[in-house]
Amino acid sequence: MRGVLRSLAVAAAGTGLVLGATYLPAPLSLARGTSHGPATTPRVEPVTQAQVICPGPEALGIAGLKDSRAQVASVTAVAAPQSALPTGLAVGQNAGTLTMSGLPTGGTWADPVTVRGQTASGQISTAQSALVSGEGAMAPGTVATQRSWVKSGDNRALVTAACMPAAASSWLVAGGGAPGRRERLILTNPGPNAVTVDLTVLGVNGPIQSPNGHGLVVGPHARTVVLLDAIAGSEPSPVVHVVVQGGEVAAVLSDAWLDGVIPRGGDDTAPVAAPAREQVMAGVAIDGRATLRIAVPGNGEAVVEARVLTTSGPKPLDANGVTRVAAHSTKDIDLSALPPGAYAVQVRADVPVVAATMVDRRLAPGAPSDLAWSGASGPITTLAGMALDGKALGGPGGTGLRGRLDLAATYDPASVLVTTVGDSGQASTKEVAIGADSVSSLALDGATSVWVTPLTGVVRAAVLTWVTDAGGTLLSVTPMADLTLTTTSVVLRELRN
Amino acid sequence: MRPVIVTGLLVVHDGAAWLDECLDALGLQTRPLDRLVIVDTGSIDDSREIAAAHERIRQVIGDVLTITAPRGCTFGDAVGRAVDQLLARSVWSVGTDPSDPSLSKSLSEPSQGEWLWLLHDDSAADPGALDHLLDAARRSPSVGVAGPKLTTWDDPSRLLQVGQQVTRAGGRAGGPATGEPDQGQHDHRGDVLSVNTSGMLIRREVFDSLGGFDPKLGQLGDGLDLCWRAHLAGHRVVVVPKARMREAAASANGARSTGFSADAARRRDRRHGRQVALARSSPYAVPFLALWIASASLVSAAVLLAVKQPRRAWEELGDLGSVMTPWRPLAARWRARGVRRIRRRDLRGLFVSPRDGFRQALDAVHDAVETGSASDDRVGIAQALETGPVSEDSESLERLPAGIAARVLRHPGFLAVLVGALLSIATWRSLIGSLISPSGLGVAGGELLPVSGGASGLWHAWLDGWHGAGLGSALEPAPYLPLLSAGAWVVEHLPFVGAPTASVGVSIGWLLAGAIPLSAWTAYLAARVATRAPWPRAWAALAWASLGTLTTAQASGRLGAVVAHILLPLVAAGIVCATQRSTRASVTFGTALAMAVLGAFNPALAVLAAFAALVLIVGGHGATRLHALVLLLVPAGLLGPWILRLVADPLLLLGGPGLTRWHAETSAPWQLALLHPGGPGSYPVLLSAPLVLAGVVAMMRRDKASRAMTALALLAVVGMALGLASPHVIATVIPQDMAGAGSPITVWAGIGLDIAGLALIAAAVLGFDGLSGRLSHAGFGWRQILVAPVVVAAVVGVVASVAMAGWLGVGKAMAATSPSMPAVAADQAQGPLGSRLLVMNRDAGAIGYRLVGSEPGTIARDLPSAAVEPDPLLAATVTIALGERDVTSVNAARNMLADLGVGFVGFRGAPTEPLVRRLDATAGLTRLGDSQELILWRVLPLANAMSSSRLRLEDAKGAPLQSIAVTGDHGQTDVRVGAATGRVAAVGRRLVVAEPVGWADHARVMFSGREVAAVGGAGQPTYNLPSGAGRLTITLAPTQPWWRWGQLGLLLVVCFLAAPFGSSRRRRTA
Repeated sequence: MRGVLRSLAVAAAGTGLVLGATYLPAPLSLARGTSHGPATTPRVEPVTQAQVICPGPEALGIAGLKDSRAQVASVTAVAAPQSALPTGLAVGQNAGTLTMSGLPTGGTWADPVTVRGQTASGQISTAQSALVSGEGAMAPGTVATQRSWVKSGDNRALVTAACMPAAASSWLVAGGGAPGRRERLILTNPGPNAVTVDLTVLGVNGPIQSPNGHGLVVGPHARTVVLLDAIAGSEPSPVVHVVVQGGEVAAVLSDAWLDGVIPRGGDDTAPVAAPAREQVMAGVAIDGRATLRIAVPGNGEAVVEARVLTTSGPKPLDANGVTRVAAHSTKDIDLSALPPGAYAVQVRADVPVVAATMVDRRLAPGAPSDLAWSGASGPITTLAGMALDGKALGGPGGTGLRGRLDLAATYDPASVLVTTVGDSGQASTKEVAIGADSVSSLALDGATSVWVTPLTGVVRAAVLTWVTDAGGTLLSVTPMADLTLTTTSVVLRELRN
Repeated sequence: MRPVIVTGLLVVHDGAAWLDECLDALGLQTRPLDRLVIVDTGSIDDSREIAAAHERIRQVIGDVLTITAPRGCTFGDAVGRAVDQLLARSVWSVGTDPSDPSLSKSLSEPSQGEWLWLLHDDSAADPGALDHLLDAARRSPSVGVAGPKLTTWDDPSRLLQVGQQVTRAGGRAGGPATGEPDQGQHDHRGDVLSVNTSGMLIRREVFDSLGGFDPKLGQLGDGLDLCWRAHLAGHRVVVVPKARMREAAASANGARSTGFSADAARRRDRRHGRQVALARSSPYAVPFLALWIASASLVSAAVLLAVKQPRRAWEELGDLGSVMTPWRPLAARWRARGVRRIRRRDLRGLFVSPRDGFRQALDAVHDAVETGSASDDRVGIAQALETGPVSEDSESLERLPAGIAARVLRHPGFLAVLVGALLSIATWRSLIGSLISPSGLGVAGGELLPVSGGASGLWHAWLDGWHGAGLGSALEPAPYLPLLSAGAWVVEHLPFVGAPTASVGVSIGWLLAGAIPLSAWTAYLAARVATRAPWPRAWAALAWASLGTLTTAQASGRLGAVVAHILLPLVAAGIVCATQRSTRASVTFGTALAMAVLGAFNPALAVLAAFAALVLIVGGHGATRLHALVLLLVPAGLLGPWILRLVADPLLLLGGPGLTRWHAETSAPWQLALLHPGGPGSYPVLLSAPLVLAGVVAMMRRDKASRAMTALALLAVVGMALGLASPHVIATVIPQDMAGAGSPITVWAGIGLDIAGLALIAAAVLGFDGLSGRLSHAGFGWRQILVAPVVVAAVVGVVASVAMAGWLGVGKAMAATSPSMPAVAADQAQGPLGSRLLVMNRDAGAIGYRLVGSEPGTIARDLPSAAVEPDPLLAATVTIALGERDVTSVNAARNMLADLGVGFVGFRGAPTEPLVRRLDATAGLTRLGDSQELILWRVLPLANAMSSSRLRLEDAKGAPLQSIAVTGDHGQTDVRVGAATGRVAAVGRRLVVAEPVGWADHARVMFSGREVAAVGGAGQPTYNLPSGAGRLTITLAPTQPWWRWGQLGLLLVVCFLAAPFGSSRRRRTA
């Protein structure tokens, strides 16, 4: 009997244990403390280093070609005035500097600036890019603009380019297939390591197959200028995709047109917004010929709907409002039929696209003209700014250069703070409201730099600069890119097994 | 003149015990002696009186002469003196008429037919012995020496010698064994190399022409020497089996009142035999012979020592003495010059062939190694009895191969292991390729981390004072590393493993995959303590091998649990054996060894076993306590400093390789109660229910096994309680620097369930052992009704478990290991540069980084060790490499990476990560490409095209000069460094080691034989090197070298004691 009792006792104990484990789930913790290193959370800090790269004289230093002419480009750099910076951005009390140097290394054209809002200007006349570097407290809100203004001759044009940070992938939209139209791609590698660049050019009939443009090596701290004609000579609607291996480059596409003996002007384009299903181009000031160029980078055909935003709201395009663009192809849509005015162009597609708009200024057929590209840009979320010139625009004794800020709001009404800095370094701020799906313009006379701080809504901005002389108006459009003011510190964690 | 005169020469030396009988026997000879000379060599007992008082011998022989010789003289001396005295009439002793002319004539002039019969005082000849000897000797004039068959003194039916057979090297061989029953099996012998001096009949003229015995060849070798010389002089030496003689071999057995022990006599005999061989073989062969004797002696001694035959090993070693005294054989050779009449090679047929000699040595080893299981004993006894002429029938029965094969195939234990092996193959079918293909790197997954490394790396990870992956540390390493290293070493010597760095992974894979058959084997062996019946043991083996605890453990890479599952039956059986007084030491030490291994892999279970030993010490008695003490102390000693670490941090007892549960869901308690911890490798839980039921039902058994049953019941409940409690006990939480930080880490439930499973299976085997017999005694009742279905269900349940486990396989947690480093980085890591790879990944907002070098990392997940501060230098390096910090020098990142010996930087993640761009933009890094989801950058060489390396020379200003090759882990090296030249020679140079500062405390840096001290205050270990050329040696001594030596020494001793050598048969007879 004792044996039976033993079995029963074991069975009972087992059952009891199971029941106990089921219904008494309170854990017993033997863990001593919690000290296995503090939990680290990433910190958001103002950037302490901001670099933008200006392409330098576009016509100089073309690989394999002798420079055919002299060119001078002026670079203006500035850091955002304190008042334009978002509140709460503690940029630190340490003195920072804004410097300008050449790439490949060599040459400093301006004295370092240590005061926010004060512009630094320099001129480049050699085949160099300019590296504008904001260090320390001057880093947040560092912008620079390169401008070359040729008043007469074959190269008559006003060319303005916003200097941009380097990127690993850039989409550039400009150029055309007309005789005498030249596209130069300026690639600058600010990094210490050589990089390899692959260029893909999309055209109306799909990607252009060319052995050129693949495996271009840009040396460390070096600049390379590539003639796009070598890849896509007669492509009427080229869109360039720059892909970098092993680093980043700043890419700028320069579009210059000499139609026979008639100078048709030119412009520089910085990389447009990355492929997306919506693209908005602000600052499309149509007064004559205008073109919208769309490229589909993906594998699927795009159904694209384009409309323009006016000061009084959106307006569909009469014709070509909805169009199809084949995969890996580009398409130009003529906007010349639109009445003169300030516009923004909004493009929506069922697959990601890239887009840019070109406007033209010409007094009469056969007269010289100038063209300006306005690439799609992303909405401004923190701050956008632009250095306009060393001297205030439109002011007495100035160069005659005028400027205008075009704002475009999509979907909802928006408001922004626009800060302009005058010659004296005095910043003045004004709140501007933009209606839903509308554009709004603001003259920039008297400003050396302009800053847009968003308050509400989705806003994009572009700066138009122009000068009018006997030959007509020379125009340039520069979309304003959102600036990176803060950086999230990386939490490092030494891994153990 | 009588045609034949036989003179007996009886040498007496303290032979009182035998002398009377000896003389009686001489007196009873059918062919009486013509004369007898008794030589007393200074006996101090009654021998002289006995000889003098023996009337009968004098009546029979008439001419009995007694002479005395000094006490120290040998048999050969004594005989020589007697023969000399035969010529000198003056020494007739009192009592004999010296003036008898006939006697003097016959003795002084050797007649043609005169023979000498040499006799020992401890021998007794059969009455016909002399007659037979003479008969055989007179048949051929060429016979110079004849000897009788010697039997033991006490039992004439047991043999002592039938002639002496030796190898060319003078080693005795060819038997018969002392005490071998005489069934006429050696009676075919005739011509032999030598006969014993006891009963040796030698023609007088032969004796004279040979000059008698050689006095320098010792007491035991002189007979062999005389016969060998007789052969060389052209005389035959024959053994006459019909002539029988009892021989006490008192000298050889150490039975004489003075003289040496039996062991010493045996050693002398061997040595003298070797000396004779050296003296009598061809002079050209002597060097080779000496070399052979020396080497054979050493090898045999080593082998015999290994099989625990120290006495015989010592004997073998004694042979060396013969080679050490080369003058003896030389002198003997000189003395015997001019004797040889025939060619030495004519004696070839008389020697034992080398093959026979070797076979005999092998037999000796085999005898020692035999483990003495029941079946072996049977065979052994049969062989021992089979001494006569072996009939073909009996021989064929013994050696029939088909019989052995059939027997093995029907052996339940073999079948259980076979089924286990098949189950293992079925379970691991998806991964077997990576374990046997030459390119396979083993398996990883679950708790098992991918590890690349070889046996040497793992060994050094345990031994060296500074060890481990990445920058390394000085923590006490896990004690299982040397065991895995041993396994890896074996794997490295197998043909199908390609890269040596794969051996650890492959050996662990094999261990996991082989766990099922191994568990079946150990369970079968261990079940013997519960029952002798083979089929229940086979059931137990399969039940144990197919338990859910094992299938899930191996499918999740729970290394500690798998090893524990293999060893647990042996440890449990060993503890049971320790309770018995008669347990052999080898069992106890074997158990202690198993406990140490268990402790290395599974500390919790080892503590339970140690607790059992403690109980035995307290509650046991005598031998049991001794056994328990061994079980308690030996594992502790073997584990060494690890025990200290356990004492310092008892929480480590809950850990072990793969014994913790980090994220996995645990099974419901009722599933745990059915011995299923859940996870990969599980099979339907209910299949184990019959097993549990059988164990519980079997606990009803009473009678003799009642106490054992109570113990098993207790063990089952304790195991179950541990298993069920495990998921509720949080050992610690996942630290911040690991994924899933803050989550609790609990103990894996399978540890406790394994104990419960063991107890239940043991109870089932014990409870149902001999059940039919017991049940038949009782009347028909509820027991019969209950038991049969339970037994059937238990068998069916196990079979079904095996089938399901095999069908479901090992699951998806385990996978073939892929290389942890791209080939180019691995190349440099394992090469002389010993460079490292800095791997980063992005994990939930943070960037994780890890240094990977050639040193193997952690093998399996364990409890996280105490928080270690991230290395500041490494952290700064990573920060700078990522461009997170403003730097003054463009080469800052590269220089800092080079300081740490980082040759490559890798990022595991998408190429679109911003981090990739940052690394692209970092000066000094150049992208190599993407491979195996790792984007790789090379750290550009420093000045002088010097790649990142573990050791580099700098000048006094810190400018790199050259890298220095490493030959081991963590900067260990042994290379020659050239002299400094030019400017460097003037300003000096220094060695910088790419290791953390703490490394210097454990490193010993020697240059040109002098130890170099580290430069104080340097950010990295730095040493000022002299300008001259020299040898640079860097070693990392163990932190506690004496512990390590002690552990290794103890391991050797325990292995020696645990080896089941020395057959139980021998022990029983001893």
